[in-house]
Amino acid sequence: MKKTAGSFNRTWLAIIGVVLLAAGVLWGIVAAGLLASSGASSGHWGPSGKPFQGASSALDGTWLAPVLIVAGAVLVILALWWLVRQIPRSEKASTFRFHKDPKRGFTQVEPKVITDAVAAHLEDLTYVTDAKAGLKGQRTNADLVLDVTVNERADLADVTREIREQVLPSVKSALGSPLGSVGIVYAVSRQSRSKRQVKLQ
Amino acid sequence: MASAHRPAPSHREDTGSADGSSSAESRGGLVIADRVVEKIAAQCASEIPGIGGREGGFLGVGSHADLDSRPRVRVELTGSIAVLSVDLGIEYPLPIEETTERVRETLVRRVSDLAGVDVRQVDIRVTYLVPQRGRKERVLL
Repeated sequence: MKKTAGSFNRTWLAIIGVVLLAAGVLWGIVAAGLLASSGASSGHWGPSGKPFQGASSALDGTWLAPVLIVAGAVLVILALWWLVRQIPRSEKASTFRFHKDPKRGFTQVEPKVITDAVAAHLEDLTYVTDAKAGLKGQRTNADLVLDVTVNERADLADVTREIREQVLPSVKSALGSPLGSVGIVYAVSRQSRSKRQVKLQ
Repeated sequence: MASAHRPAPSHREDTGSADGSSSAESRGGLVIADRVVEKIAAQCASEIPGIGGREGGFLGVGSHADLDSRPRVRVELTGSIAVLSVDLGIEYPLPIEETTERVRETLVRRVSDLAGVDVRQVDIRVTYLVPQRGRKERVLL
């Protein structure tokens, strides 16, 4: 179960877009002479104004180089931070709490403890060669994602039925509450999971 | 090592003294080490169906889940008040909440009875859930 940076990207792209749009609108207003006609600018923004007057003297300033270096470093850091955020991250549920009255003591279970048991249960099913499970959300309404690899001989409908009839009731029993949602991702493999023994009773 | 101290009973008739004049203090006290409380608690927890601990490994590394082992228990003693911290495993798919509540009630009652300390809190950390097939079984070759 991976969390991508989709919403993060959209947010920052929207912010940058709004800033650039505002700059463009301002540029258009200045170019159209609307700012000069409003009387807000008699000098710099008027038809005869020179907005960049004095820029050449600023270029000679000794403070310019350090300022540009610092600004560049900030931009590099922001760019790297954004790049790192693009790496998909696992979205883990926080520790589940099962106690009724904290005054009498806590009961804590890491989600991995439950997902390991679910994966082991899945691997006991016929034709399942490998399995992983993930839980997220709150214990009372957890979302379960199953990543199941089956042998090519498997009938996916049968495997799904077994999961629905055997695995999911066990998860609900352990959690003591119904699941919010269940997602199953299948992969097909040519490998088989041969066992050294079989349980008859 | 912490310990809980219980004063000796103050029943004069149980002193064994001919004149019955010796006080409870003169007959000595009863000191219970924290490790004793831990072992009593671990044994009480292991007697509950579906509860286990870990076995094997070296210094905690390489141990494996075993429902026939005793859970790990640590105790904090303050006077005669005990706070227990239990690391245990539960047979899957027993309901975690009900099972751990049963463990808590059992430990509060039995450890208080057996060790004489007042168990106020039992913190439980479930470290594994093992399916029924994980129990020791006889394998026919």
